[in-house]
Amino acid sequence: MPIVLEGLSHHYKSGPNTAVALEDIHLTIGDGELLALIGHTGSGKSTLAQHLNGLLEPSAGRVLLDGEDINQKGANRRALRFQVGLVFQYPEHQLFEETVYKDIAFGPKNMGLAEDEIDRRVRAAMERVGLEFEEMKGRSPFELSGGQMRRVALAGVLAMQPRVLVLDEPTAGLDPRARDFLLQDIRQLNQEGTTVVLISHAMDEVARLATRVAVLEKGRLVMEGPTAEVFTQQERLSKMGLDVPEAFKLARRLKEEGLSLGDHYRLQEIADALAAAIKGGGQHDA
Amino acid sequence: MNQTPHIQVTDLVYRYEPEAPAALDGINLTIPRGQFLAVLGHNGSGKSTLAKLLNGLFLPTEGTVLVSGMDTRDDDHVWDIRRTAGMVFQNPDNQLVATEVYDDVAFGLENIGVPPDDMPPRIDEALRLTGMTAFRDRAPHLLSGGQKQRVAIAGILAMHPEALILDEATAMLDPQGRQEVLQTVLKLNREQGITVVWITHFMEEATHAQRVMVMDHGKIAMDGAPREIFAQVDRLRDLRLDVPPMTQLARLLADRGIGIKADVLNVEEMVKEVKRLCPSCLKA
Amino acid sequence: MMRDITLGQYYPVDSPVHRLDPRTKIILIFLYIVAVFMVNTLPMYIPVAAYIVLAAALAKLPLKMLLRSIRPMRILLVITFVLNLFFASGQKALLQIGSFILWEEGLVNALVFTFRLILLVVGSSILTLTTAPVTLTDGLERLASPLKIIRFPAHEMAMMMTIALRFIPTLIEEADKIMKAQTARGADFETGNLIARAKAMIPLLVPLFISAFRRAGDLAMAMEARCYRGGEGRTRLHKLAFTRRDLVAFLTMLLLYLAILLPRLL
Repeated sequence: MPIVLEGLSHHYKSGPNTAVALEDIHLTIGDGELLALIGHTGSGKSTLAQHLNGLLEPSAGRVLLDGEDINQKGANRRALRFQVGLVFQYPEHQLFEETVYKDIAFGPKNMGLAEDEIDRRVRAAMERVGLEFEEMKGRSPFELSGGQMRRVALAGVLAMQPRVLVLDEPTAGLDPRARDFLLQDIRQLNQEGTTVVLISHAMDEVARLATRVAVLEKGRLVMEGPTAEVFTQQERLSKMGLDVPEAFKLARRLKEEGLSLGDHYRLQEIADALAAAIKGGGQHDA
Repeated sequence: MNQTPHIQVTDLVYRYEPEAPAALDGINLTIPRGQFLAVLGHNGSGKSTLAKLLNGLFLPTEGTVLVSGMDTRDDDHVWDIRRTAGMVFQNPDNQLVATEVYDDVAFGLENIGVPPDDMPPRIDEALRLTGMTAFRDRAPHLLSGGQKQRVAIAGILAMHPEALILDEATAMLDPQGRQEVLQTVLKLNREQGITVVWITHFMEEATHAQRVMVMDHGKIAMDGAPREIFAQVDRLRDLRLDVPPMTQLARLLADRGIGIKADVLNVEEMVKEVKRLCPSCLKA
Repeated sequence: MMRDITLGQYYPVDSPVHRLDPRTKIILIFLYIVAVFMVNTLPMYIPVAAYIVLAAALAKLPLKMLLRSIRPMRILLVITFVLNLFFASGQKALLQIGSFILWEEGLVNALVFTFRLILLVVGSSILTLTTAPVTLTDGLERLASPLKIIRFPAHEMAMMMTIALRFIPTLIEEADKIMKAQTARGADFETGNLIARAKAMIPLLVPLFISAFRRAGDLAMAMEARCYRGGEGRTRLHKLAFTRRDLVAFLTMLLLYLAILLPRLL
């Protein structure tokens, strides 16, 4: 069952004034979808993410999970956090335990699970992120490489087996290969049923993974829709200082020159369409 | 133009510990004055290690590093080397020392013993060159990542360096911050003639360099003009690096039998190639 | 969202007191504290109080701000007053309620000690309200530099203080992020007894410490890259210089001492 944001607003005190982080957000996150949240730094993306798992309380409006207001009196917000897992930017900065196993087990332990269930979950999570169990379980998180530490931190959230996974810039600071692996893992998680909300600056990543894109600007939800639909609005996005994946730029330029490639934005699909057009030598293909 | 190389690395080997495998294994590199060299490589390729050897923060296990003819191992010269070859690091926060931008830019000048009366014009100029004049009274924690890095650059510019070494200076920044820093450094290279060593794993940044060097497991794997390097898509994939999207597309088209050139770097070049290959595809 | 955390209480206004050399203000504060302790009768507080009121006015400090500096002390002030009021013995009784006697001496002591506390706090507040933390650090360093003869690391201490001041807001932000990240994993920093809550701090403190150490290492390297090699041969952007203003300030302190001591000698 989805997360619904109804008129969500977040105001905070900045000196003598009141500043607006979020204003009147209406958004539905459907079960099993992979939604990307894009926007300039300061647009409110991280603030919005923290409302999804109850870390922040709305100044106005409601956050509903399965139809229930997560902030109503008596609501168990701690339990909520086990269902909506939030992975912050540079999550490796939160590692603290003596061993990889213990750190990943932190979440499940807080859930009050039995030892054998915790063990099962830690193993599953480690496998999911590509950390070899026997080799890594006893090592100190602090002697691992940056990429490995990132995977431990992710496993720590996955071990809670949340229904919804919110990721804030998950590939920040990773080199291309590590980034590709991580994106693959995220896609797979989504395919297995986890709802994913991806906050990212990297438009090419967004284009690769997301089925739907929501755009925030200065705390307001200004655009929302299927990925292709959002990215074709290039001028609107660049006015907001946001970039568009290269593939879209190409499609638009070719269209200006009279060649339409249809709705494709994945490189493979564009290659197919373009190759066909060139070989057809003049027959416009879509 | 001065022909003596600015930075000369000869048979450089570096080990973090005596028995450890070499982090850098036989590097030979000549960087001429005024060049903008981009150094690419996966994490662990040795590129950051190399950076720290260029200004004497690390000393060679074997081989030599000469900066403007000075040996980094020479105690008498290492401080001069650091003054002429300034370094900007990856973490924007962990370089700023003072509670105000202006005072932070002064830090380097204080260290090299510049008379107090000579400092303000140098600081003002450095802030101007990095576009940070309006922020002179600001506290560092109130700046964005890109702004912090520009302050770090200003702090080095005030010391009148001849070279700027940037060790993954954009890795922790958002796209806007990355652009700010890149544009600032490109301008400094073009207008002030400062030699730049730009270490990164972002391919798009390297397209602006005059020369690209790719490192792999402590050795130099590729070295040449950006076009030559990026066209070698497979090799770069093996070296765990990215390729600009349009270059990737060119490769995909080539796989499908299209006679497209390999070194397509951006959208405009791709459009040109399409025009060339199929003039009738495009009406306009 | 970057919070504007202004450190200390520095109130940035332009006034003669703000413009005094920080060394002057530091020395004056010491002299002032000694003066306050020298006073032991109520009438003798008048010149001291007058001095501090005039200093505050000259520093263009709003009354509200000074009162606010006393606020954290209010419980201590009440306790001091009450204790001295009741636990005293004397010769002149003012009031008698049942078996409780209010002595005149008790009342005087209560007022003297409470007033002394107030004057001390307000006086030191004027120092911190009129001097930016970094300037204060500078002043302390210069004052302590003669101690270098006995190997006292004046420069290093000042450098440490400046860096600490610079990083406090950054570390606060980081602590906030870590807390949120651990809360997102079900950590509970609020419930439980003292021991439970102390244990709950581990997931916050360990990463914070490790991060602090990493920062220190990075910063040291960055400082070296900018040619930092300790205090030797360093020049300073901000010059400290005594001016006539400072001389006048010292003279006013001399006047205060005369006002306190003369009545005793005569």
